[in-house]
Parts: sequence; structure tokens; C-alpha cells
Amino acid sequence: MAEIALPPLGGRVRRMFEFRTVLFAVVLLVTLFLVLYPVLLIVFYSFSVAETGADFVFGLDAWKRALSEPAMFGTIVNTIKLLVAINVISFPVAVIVSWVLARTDIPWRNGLEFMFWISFFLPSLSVTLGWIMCLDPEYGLLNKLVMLLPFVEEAPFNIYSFWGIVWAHIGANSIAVKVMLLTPTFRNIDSSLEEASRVAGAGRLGTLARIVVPAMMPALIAILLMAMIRAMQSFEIEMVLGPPFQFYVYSTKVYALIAQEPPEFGPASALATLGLAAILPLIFAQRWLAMRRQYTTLTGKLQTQPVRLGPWRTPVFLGVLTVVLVLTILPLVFVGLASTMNLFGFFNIPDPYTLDHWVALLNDETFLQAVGNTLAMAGGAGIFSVVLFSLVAYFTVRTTFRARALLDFVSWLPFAVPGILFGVGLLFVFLESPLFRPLYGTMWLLILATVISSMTLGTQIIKSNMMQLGHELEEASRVTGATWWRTFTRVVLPILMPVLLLVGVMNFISAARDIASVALVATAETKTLALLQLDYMVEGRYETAAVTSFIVIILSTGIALLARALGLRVGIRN
Amino acid sequence: MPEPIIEIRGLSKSFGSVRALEDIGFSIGKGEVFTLLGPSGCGKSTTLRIIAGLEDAEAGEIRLAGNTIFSSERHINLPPEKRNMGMVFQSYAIWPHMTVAANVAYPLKLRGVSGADIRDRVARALKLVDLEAQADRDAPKLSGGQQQRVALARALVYEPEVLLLDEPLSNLDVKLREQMRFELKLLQERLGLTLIYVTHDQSEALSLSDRIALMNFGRIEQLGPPRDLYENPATEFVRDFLGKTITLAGRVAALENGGARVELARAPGSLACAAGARAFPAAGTDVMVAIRPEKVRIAVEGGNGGLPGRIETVLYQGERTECLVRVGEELLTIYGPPEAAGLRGRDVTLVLPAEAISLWPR
Repeated sequence: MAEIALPPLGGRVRRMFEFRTVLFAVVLLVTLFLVLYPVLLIVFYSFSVAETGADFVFGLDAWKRALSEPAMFGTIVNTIKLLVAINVISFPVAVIVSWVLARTDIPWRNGLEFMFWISFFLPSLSVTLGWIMCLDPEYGLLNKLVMLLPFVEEAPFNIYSFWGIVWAHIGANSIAVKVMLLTPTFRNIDSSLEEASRVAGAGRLGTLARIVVPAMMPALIAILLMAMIRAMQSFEIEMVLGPPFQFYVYSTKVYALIAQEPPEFGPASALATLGLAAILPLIFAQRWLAMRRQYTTLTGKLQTQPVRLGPWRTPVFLGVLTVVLVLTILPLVFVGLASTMNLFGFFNIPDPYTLDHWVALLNDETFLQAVGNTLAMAGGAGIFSVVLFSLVAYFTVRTTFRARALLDFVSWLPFAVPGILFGVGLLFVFLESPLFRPLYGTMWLLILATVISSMTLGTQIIKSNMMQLGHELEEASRVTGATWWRTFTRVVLPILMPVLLLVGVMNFISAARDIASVALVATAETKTLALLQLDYMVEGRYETAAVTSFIVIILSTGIALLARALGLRVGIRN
Repeated sequence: MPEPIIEIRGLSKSFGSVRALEDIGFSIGKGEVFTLLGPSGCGKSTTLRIIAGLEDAEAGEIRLAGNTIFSSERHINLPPEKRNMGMVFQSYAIWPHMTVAANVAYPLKLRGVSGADIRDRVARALKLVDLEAQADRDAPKLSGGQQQRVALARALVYEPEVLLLDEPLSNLDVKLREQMRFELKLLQERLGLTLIYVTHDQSEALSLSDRIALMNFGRIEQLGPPRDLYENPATEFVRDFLGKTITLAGRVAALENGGARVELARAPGSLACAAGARAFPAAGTDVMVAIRPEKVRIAVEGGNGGLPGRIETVLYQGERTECLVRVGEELLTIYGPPEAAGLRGRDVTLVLPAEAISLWPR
């Protein structure tokens, strides 16, 4: 009788110490530390009544204040009011624009789509600056223009108002984000659904209203929820436009509580926790909808016959063109104008135009330091994020470790948690513990903050590409004798190189223009350009802010354009 | 032919530099099943979609029941919703956000039919396709075959003048496809429907149609009843697209008794060919001899005047066999009876009836 081979002794033990297992543990711990730990600390410190820096003392004072003071709880109501107002306007516009771009024979479609893409990459603070130039009650150009009319006595527009903030959001990227998400969704719909309705006797608009929109409702709602989650995280527009009329949303309130002297960490954490609680239902609803199969999109052969607009072709084209010009060119022109004027809006002084602001800023120590900081932070974030995200993606997609579900969950968390809250959490991590305190005040902290904020999108992109990669490519490498690490670095990563490059570039861009995640962790020495621009705007130095803004636009939109020209598909969807 | 309900003249269309349709014209009688058949990219779906109004032709004219619905010259182009046609799509195009009944009711609602009337007619349409029990179910939860029936009910419920079907059975599995073929035929005969049917499946076309237009490269190669196309193909493309054909190289030796005698080029012997639909080339011309494999008889003994051959191998198929037979230098695939399964390696004689043979230029 043949000998029966026994399973090798200690097979399980050996696996425990395999390099891959050790690496998985390290990646999991790093991610938990970066993402989960700060959030838990926020919740933890909301129950402390101790002075800053002192030991934890349990108490509910912070919560009592957060729930009773109108100045606190009201900020969450403000956030929700803004959210609703912004999306009630921008969502229908985005739905119509995306449908037109995806499903009709509108002329110059690629050009229009490209301009929405530009709008998506324009930093919201720069767009807001453009609109301040236009709608400021004192010297906004549009106000001045309207006041030339004989019967207009007062400035009709005021950007420092609730509707001013709403408008700034719409003008920044509230529409562009949705157009970028919706257009591919509309493009994937089986055109025979529309054609069947036409043949059955419905016109173009009837078909849009009765078939296309209702059939896509689940997908539309999922995208709307995603947009609302994003909007909950907005910070810089409210930070510039809100305080002049005593208007705070919860992110600016949290920031104010911490930035003041002395900082009030307790109420800030309680408010932050409340905000998180308000986002959670949105997250669950969004995940639930996204998980469900979208039945409107069929796999396999799709016919995509564009709908003929007929006589509506030109009017519709002009309409969409107007929208996209208002979103892109208009604010840029005003920012450009502002950067070259002695005093913005004053055309009738002897010497209205000057390059002084450019010259002064380019010789300013603070500014030059900020340029260096921004490049170091964005570059560091770009590199570090690719390393971390590709490992996270690999472990969640390609391995069977039981804890990979936890890793997956943690990689989703930054999508839900506003950047300003991560800032609070990171402050707790790095200020309260003697081990990490030396890192406070260095660029490392900013790099970590921006890596966290781009984690969800970056990991998702790498994951979806890894899933398309057949197992055989890896298995072939292992069978020929390569170790796991060699296979990962010599086969998996090189194949995914274009994707990794894309993620790196996108994280560079989002770090370069990021404000919410770094506002609280930056110090005077580690200020970035975007933060400097925010300071200038809050101080009312709009001309200097405009110059700074240009550099930020080059580092974000400019890099995106360059990457696109080099063939990278920079965007929010693959 | 009964009075024409659809008349088409001179339809042309190109996609960029590719001519998608070239001078397509035909007319269809009331109650006729007319099939556009052809390989993918031949223009059959484009033709159908132009008839439906979903695409534009560059030139041509379409008349429906005497009224011009499309004319490039007179700049008439009725939108699809004004043509009152019914259409069944390849993907069924069942609206996923509606129930079965709501899908079927939709065209009636658009036509301003009253509520009670709608319920009535929807129920009748669903009964027609045997789906009354599923009326209130969500449409996406149905099986492929059921969705197909919903699409049919939805296209029939408003009694359109013509029913357009774009590869309606191609997404069903084989068993269901064969069953639906019968149901479709029964329904058509019972209601006297006029169908324009697009398919790439020759057996579907042969079994369902009154007439077939076989298309290739945007042109109609041959138009006629299925038997005509199968038995008297006008071109090599038609001959080879419909069914299988055996071909042998040869040369016309003599014309005799209204027929012809052909010497084979790569096999010993000669074949008699009776007069058929095709004209004979002059004596001395190189030709291809063509015959359907099911017309060839395999004789183990006797078979006078046949071609001597040897069975190289046999594939057993259940209801028949496929025999690979070597005749001289030619290798022919012949359909044999199931009993032929044991004939591997045997010398046989192939009998090719003179009236089943046609001659083609070589």
C-alpha cells in the first residue's frame, strides 16, 4: 500500500509568519491608526471636561452645550439647509445637462464635456474668489453694472448671504461633479428603452420624463446621495462667505472652536460627532443603493443611438454652453482681472492695472515657503498614497485574510468623514500623545491628512482595476517560482502602472488644492498655498489672493490638463 | 400579392465612407410576414430602424398604407411616435421601473385611451401572450422568455399597422426559441398581422416568412419566398448563406437533351445536369457543380452512373450521420442515414440526381 502523505506540521504557524501576512498586519494597523483612531478619539474627547492638555475627565458638558446652544446645534441645521438648497438647484440642471451630453446629437459634445471636466478640477476657493469679484455688494462688477440702470438704487446681489453661498457652491463644482458622475450613467442606459417608448407613441421629452428618468431613479438617487455626502464636507466656501454675516455651518464652527484662543476641544468634538451622526444615514442609504444591481444598465451589446434634437439642437447647445462658460471662464476671467488691478473694481483711478501684486508676492518669503510646502506635501501625498492604496487594494481584492473586510470598511471611512473632522482627530493623535508630538508642525502631518482624505477614491480605482486583472497572471508567476513579493512588485504593479500613475497624479492635485483636511493641522511654518489664499481672502486682500489662486490653479487644474494630455484618464470614474 | 401596406423605394444610407444601404426597395402586403435576412452588418437592422423612424436615410421614400412617412425629396420624415408601428427589440426593452401591466398600458395611455378601456385591452393583450397571471409583477423579475412576451403584448396592444421585430428570438435559449417560433407564427396567422422580421438566423427566416429579402453589404441579393431562395438561389452568396452546399470543380463537356454533361476536374467521372432555373454556360466552360448535401444518396452497392468514393470518417448525429467522403481529390461532407455510422473506410458510390445539380461560374 502506498504511503499516505501527512499534512506538513505547523502549516498554519508558518503562514502566520509569512512575509505577506506580516505585511498585511502592518498595512491594516497603519490604516486603522490613520483613519479609525482619529475618529474614535473625536468621540472619546467629546465626553471629556478636562482642560486642554490635561488628563481625561468624564463629563457631559460638551454635549449639553452642543445640543442646547443655538450657535452650536444651529450650525448643523444650517448645513442641511445649504445642502438642500444647493442640490435642489444643481441636481436637475446636472441631470438635464448629462442626458443631453450622453444621449443626444448635440454639437461639440466632447468640447462641452471637457469644459465640465475643467470645472470639476477648478479649486472651489478660486471660483468663489471670482464670484466675490462679481457679486460683492460694494464693488462687485455685476452689481455695478446693474446699478447703471436708472431705476436701480441698491446693489441687487450680495455674495455674503445664504443664497450667495449656494451660488458659490453651484458655481464651484456642485454641477460639475454630478455631470461627471451622471454622464457615464446615462451613456450606459440601453437606448432601446427610449426607442421602444418612441415607437409606442411618446415624444422626446415625454420619453425623458416617463421612461429615462424613472428607469434610472435608483442610480440617480445614489449619485444625489453621494453629492450630498460631499456637500456635508464642504468648508472653504462657508469659511470665506459665512462669518461676515455671522453664518456658520458645522464644519466652520468646529474650525472656529479649535482655532480660537483658548481652543474648546470638548464642544468641537461633540459637534463633530453630531455632524458624523448626521452623515451616517446618508452613507448607509448610498451604500445600500450602490450595492443593489443597477438594472437599467445591461451588459453585453448595447446600442447607443443618439437622440436627434432636430430643431432644438442649436438652442440646447447654447444653453449648455452658457452653463459651462458660467462655471469655468467667467470666474477665471475675474480672478485674472483681480490679480492685475491696483484695487479691484476701480477702473477710473489713474492707474487701474498693475503687476505689483505679482511682483510683491513672488518676492514674499511666506509665499515662497508656501510654494515649497505645497509641492512637498502634494508630492509626498502622491507617492505615499500610491504605495499605501495599492497594498490596501491588493489585500482587499486578492487575499482571503478574514480581517480584509475591516480593511475595506476603513478605506471607505474617509469618504464619509469631513476633512475638517479628520483634522480635529489628527490634532488629538499628534498633540495628546508624547510619542507622536514631534511630528506636529512638520509636513508629515499634512501629508498624512491629505492621504487620508483621498483614500477612498484612490483605493477604489486601484481595486476596480485589480479585479479586472485575471488571477492567472499572478499564478503563472508563482508557478514559475517567484515569491509573492516578487510577483506583486514585478507583475501586479507594473501591469497596473498607468492606474497607479493616475492615482498618484489625482492625489497630488487634490492635496495641492485641499483646505479642509489641512486647515487645522498646518502651522505658520507649514502653510500651503491654498491655506495662504484662504487667509488672504478672509483678510479681504483679494488682489493678492487672486495671484495665489493662479498658482493653485496651475498646480491642480494645470497638472490635470497635463496628465490628460499625456493620456491619463483623470476623473472621478474609470 | 394583397394590397401593399408598406412601399419602399431607393433607400440609401452611409456611415462615414461606408455605404450601409444602397438603393433598397420592396413592398409588403397586408398580413404578410416579410423577413430581412443577412449576416451582421448587412444593413437589415438599419433598414428596419429607418422604417420605424429611429434612423434617417439619406435618400429614398417609404409609404405606409398609401401615406408617405419618409421622403428625402419632399423632406418628409415622420418621427417614430407618429408612425403607429409596433416594435419588438432584441433586448426586449422592457421598462424596468414598471410592472408588466404598466409596460403594456403605456402606449394606450399615450393615445388617451380611457382607464377602463386600458384595463380591458391590457388584459386581452396579456391573455394573448399567456401572461395574465404576471400582470402585477415587476417587469425586470420576469424570465427572458416572459419579457419577450411582454414586449410582444406591448407592441400589439394598440393594434399597429405593422409589427417590426428586430432579432426578437436571438436572446432566448434554443428550446425556448423553437417554441416561440411556433407561437409567433400562430399569433400572426390568428390576428392576420403584418410582420417585418429581422434576423441573421436562416432557419428562423425560412420557417416563419412568406417572403425573404436576403441582404449583403447593404444591398438585397435576392427577394422571394423561402423555397425559391433555398432551391433556386440567384447568387453564390444566397446559395452559401442558406443551408449547406457541396461544390465540385468541373468543365461542361456537352449540352444534351436540354441538359448538360460535366466532366469533373479533380475526380474521375462525369455528371448529368438537368435543366433548371439557371442558364447553362457554353460547352468547354469551367464551372462549379453545386448540390445540397441532403440530395446526395450514398449507395453501398450498385448506384450506376454515380461517383465512386470512399468514406473517410463518419460523425454520428443521432437523427442522421455526416459522412466525410473522398471522391478523387475532393473531400465532400454528405448527410447519411443513422445506419451509415458503421461505414467508415468503405468504398461507396455517390448518386447525384441530375435535377438537384446546379452549375456556377468558376
